[in-house]
Amino acid sequence: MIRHISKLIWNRKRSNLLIISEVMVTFLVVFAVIATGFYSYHKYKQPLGFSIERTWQIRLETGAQWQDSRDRPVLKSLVETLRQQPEIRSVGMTSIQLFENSSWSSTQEIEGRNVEYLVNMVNQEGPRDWGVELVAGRWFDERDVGQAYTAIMVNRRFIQTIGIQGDPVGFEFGDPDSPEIPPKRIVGIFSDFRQRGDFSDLTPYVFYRYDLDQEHRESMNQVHITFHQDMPAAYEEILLKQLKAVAPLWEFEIHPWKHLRENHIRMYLMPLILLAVVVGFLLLMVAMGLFGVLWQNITRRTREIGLRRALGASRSSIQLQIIGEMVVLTLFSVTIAMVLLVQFPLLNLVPALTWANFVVSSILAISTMLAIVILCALYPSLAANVMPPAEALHYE
Amino acid sequence: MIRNYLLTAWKVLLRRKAFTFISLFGITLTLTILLVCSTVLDNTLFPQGPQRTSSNFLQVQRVKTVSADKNSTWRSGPGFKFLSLNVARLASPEKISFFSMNERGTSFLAGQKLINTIKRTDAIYWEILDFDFIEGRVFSKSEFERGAMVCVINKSTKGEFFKDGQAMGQRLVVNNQSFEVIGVVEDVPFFEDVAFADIWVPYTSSASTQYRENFMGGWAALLYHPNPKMLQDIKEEYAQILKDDLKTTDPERFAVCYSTADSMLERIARTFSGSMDEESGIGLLFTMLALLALGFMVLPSINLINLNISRILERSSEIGIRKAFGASSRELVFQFLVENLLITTLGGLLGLLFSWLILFQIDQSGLIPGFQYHISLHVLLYGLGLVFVFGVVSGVYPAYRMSKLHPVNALKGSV
Repeated sequence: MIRHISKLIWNRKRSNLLIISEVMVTFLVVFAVIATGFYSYHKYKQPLGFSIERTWQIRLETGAQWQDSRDRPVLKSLVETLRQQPEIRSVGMTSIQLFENSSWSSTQEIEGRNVEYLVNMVNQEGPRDWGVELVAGRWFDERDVGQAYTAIMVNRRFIQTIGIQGDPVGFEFGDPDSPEIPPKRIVGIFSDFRQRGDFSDLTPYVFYRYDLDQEHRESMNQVHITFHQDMPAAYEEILLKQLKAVAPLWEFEIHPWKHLRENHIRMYLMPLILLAVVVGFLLLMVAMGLFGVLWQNITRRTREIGLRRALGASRSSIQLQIIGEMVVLTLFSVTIAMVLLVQFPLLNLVPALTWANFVVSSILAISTMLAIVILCALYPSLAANVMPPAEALHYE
Repeated sequence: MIRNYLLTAWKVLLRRKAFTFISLFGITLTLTILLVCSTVLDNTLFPQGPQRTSSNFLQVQRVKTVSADKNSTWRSGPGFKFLSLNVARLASPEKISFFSMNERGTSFLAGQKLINTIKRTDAIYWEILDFDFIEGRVFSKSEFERGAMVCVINKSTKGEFFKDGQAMGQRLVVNNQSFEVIGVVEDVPFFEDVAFADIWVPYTSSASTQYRENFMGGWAALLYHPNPKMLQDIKEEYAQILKDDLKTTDPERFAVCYSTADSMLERIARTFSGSMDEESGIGLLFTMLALLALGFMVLPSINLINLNISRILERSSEIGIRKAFGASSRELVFQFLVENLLITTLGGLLGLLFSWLILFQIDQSGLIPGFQYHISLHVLLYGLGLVFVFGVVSGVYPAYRMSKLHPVNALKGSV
């Protein structure tokens, strides 16, 4: 049957070539959209690694470049003031803001492998207060002060990426190019901290310890406050007055983590939705085009169909032939496209297109194409049967 | 002759309405999307708001510094110190204005939090840009110099703070500072980023003067000359100063500075090319845009080619007769191209209508603050170009196929 259909397709190769290229390009577009959607969904499903409940971020706009000797004491009194508020359960800090696409990344050779990881400076108690899960080792504590090493905490993906032999807790690595910098020692491993939000890439992540009583080269621009209970938005005004009283020259930008997260999700999804709408219309256009072409082709083959009917072919077998032809055409186009697409995971050209993503997206995209094509062929295949064979044979 | 072609084409279009609808749907959809994109692009490249004077000014928005040991580079906006040490010395611009990049302003109104965008400017800023004032005035030079607590706000901000009431002379509190409203302007679309803000205040009104000490970050400058031809001289003078006579606060950290004075177009091109030298990459930008538009047209074109071939083959007996009576292939190709251009033009007109509706909707919904659509002459020209390219691309191959039909076969209708 398939051999027979292939022969029929081959006989009309010139007009079929265009249909094949149309189906192929459409398939590529559908595949790209589904793969993007699948990748985004995959990232969204991964846990954030911390709880966004009842926590607000205060971003400090210090106006001038950070001068540690001048600005750290102000920050310290600010944090102390906040800690005295009865509504506030805990006060933490991060040097990089949350749910923003900004990051502090570092690349270093560890165990002979170049590893790129994101860095954030946090206060000692911060991660625990935000519900980060400790997997192994311990949290930062006073033991990390004044050591010959710099204490760091890393996420699980960091360990997986370098593939440390033996116990990762206590593992030390330094920078071979600058031996004067003290080596870093992993004191604890946490499950994850996806600072850039639900749709961010999954990366190795490292915490440094920030100590308000010690000198730091880096600025500290975010204070996060966690409340005992949900606070009304109006509390912000009271908060702002207190902050201004301590640091009159600074500006403060206050956002609940919940809002930051919603905003991140919206900003990420908006272009995707727009793209999906445009592609949806493109698909509708292609479907209508295919429908028109098929209809036209069937009309032109009225006599051929009449002949088959006259020789005893049933209605359903004619219908099967027409739909079958389209399905074979589609599978043929898809095969060509797949030969191109399989290069991506094979050569790892786009990291986002993993084998799992490739397989799922292929299956979904092929099913979508088949569904569209069969829907388009359905009506013309019915129309082919309307004319009685005797009339069809005379048709011009 | 063309009249005959058009008449035939019209009759053919009316004969198979379902097909005409399918073709028109594809064409209209494609052209609508392209027209909406090009309108947004056009409004960015050729602003219609306060930045409509853009052919008379250059902007300094990016600086790259390299340290003396060449180990660390820093890219950001210039700081106020950088501008006052270097840009202020330029002799060729007639007017020079400094302004801060947008800051967030927080206000509280009856327990509700309002977030606005503040821009801190000097008085010359208002002379260079052409704001549409609804009421009131800009702040004067003397108000600027003594750091008067006055502000100009846009229409939506007026609505937020004062509802329908009087705004002029009222005070509003932003970031704990209280300003008197002296002017109200029309909303500025966000992509005119030099002009865009909700509230404009004199930069001398800042609570602290620390900003004056920063070499890098947070500021920008406008360089104005009434004669657009003189802008080239300004560019050269600026390059000269940075190269030979750079003044820096920290010869170790900011040993070398790279920066350019750019026109609107150059600045947009730079954000894509990332270039910091003289070549801004305008050519690259336009090539990329053209490729994108063509890439988007691939699928609709194949679709239309397919449809056109089917439609032509349906008319094979007509073609057979014309050939038998001596029409040349070239005439037939021309005829079909005219027909195809007719239907793409129809699609283009519908596309124009739909894109106007879409832009109107965006405008009404307030999704993009300050967005005002202008389907300008530019866009109409792009549209015409797009229709032509699309019509020819999707018409040539089917026309060629048609012209190659053998008259005898074509007459019999067996192809």
